[in-house]
Amino acid sequence: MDWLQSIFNFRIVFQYWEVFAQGITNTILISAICLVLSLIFGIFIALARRSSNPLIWRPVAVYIQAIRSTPLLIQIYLIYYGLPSILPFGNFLDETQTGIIALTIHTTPYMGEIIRAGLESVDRGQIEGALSVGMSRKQTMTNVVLPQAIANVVPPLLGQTAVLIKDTSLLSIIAVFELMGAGLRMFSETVIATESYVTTAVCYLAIYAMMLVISGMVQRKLGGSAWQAN
Amino acid sequence: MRKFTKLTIAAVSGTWLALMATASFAESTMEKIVRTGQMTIAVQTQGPPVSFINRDGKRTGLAIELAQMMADDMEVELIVQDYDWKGLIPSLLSGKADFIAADMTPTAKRSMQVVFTEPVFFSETIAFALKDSGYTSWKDLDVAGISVGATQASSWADIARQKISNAELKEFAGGTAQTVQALTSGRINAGVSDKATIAGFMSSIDNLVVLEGDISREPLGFAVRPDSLHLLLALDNYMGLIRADGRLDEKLEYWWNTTNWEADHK
Repeated sequence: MDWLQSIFNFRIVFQYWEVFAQGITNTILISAICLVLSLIFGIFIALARRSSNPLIWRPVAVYIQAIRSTPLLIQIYLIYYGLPSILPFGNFLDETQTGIIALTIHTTPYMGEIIRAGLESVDRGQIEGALSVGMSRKQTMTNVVLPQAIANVVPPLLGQTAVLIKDTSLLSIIAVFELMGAGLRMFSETVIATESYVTTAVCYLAIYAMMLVISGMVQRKLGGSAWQAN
Repeated sequence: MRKFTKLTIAAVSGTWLALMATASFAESTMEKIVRTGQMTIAVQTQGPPVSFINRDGKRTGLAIELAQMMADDMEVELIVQDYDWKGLIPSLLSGKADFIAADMTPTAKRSMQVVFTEPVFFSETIAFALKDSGYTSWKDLDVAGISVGATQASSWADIARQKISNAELKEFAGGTAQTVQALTSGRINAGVSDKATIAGFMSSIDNLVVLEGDISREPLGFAVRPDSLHLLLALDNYMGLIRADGRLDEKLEYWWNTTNWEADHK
């Protein structure tokens, strides 16, 4: 096994397993909270964007475009340093909480637009059918439209979630310790670039693989036998 | 006969190519510098006084001037490649740079991958805070409930982790500027950096104060690939030479021990 050790030094990587474990935990935790929050808010954004009332859809459209047209790094920076100056309790939020807020604000418009596309992909006949059997508009949306829309948009949501996971690495600018920080700590101390960066990449890959399995389960649950693996 | 001639030409060409390849493979870093007349250094995008872009848009700083002085004395062209900290070591090990001219701490673990020169200069790791913070010494920070900032994955962060272990350490990506920003906006109680770097910030931010006492004193050196023995000795020899003739002290006085450089570059 010496030849393998000369290509990739597992011994040194193993010395940093606790650092990587901490980084992976933080990355998963931050990503999961942001994912749930951005999905919830994304549904509201999608519904608001479909509203015929300009007082509702116009501000939402401005929010979507403003977030999509500015770099995440600047958004994180502004929220971290700007929030305390406009909110009296801003400094009570620690770095991780601020990071979660920033990432949620950033991811929500993307999720909202994906969900909106999903809502519009549900056949009009489904809605008319639900209404004709006596369902209210709320029941139609909750029981008929949203489950189908979510099942339809799982693949693009999966893609956006992968971006969200990778975006957590930008939180290091506001001192949030996550997976990339773990890789950088190993690199700074050992200056072994290959092992530090490959280990970090493999960890991101493992998180993505785990997410792929979970999303498959969700999609099968929502889409039943109609679901086909992409 | 024609076949024999072709075979001979092929054999001679093959041998010549193999010899050239062997010669090229075996060429030392110093031999490459002599052959090409160019010395390539990797420097860090970090800020004054070690390596930064001055008001004229020119890259300068202590490390740049020392390397330039050596290149001038060797009568070779100096090529400066600018990297983020994360890119310095890979640039050296992949052969893109001949040596790293940055303020690197020669730790035992790092020395297992690259070879450091004798210390070129020393840095004092210090803590800094706002004037009205009430802290006087860096030892005042070693208390639970205090948050201390440092550059992510830096030797300053390592030192803070060891010597101010009771305080909460926050590691900011992006250099000391981020730590200073976090301090002035009330996100941390104090920061850890080196004296020369903070001196550059103190001239533009009135409310900063360096707390009493040096947390540690670190040797800083340049780094070469493990196989660049000739270049390593040449660098050590050159630093010894300019230390003896006073040029190193002159540069250190201008860039490192004082803020005299600010008048010309800031």
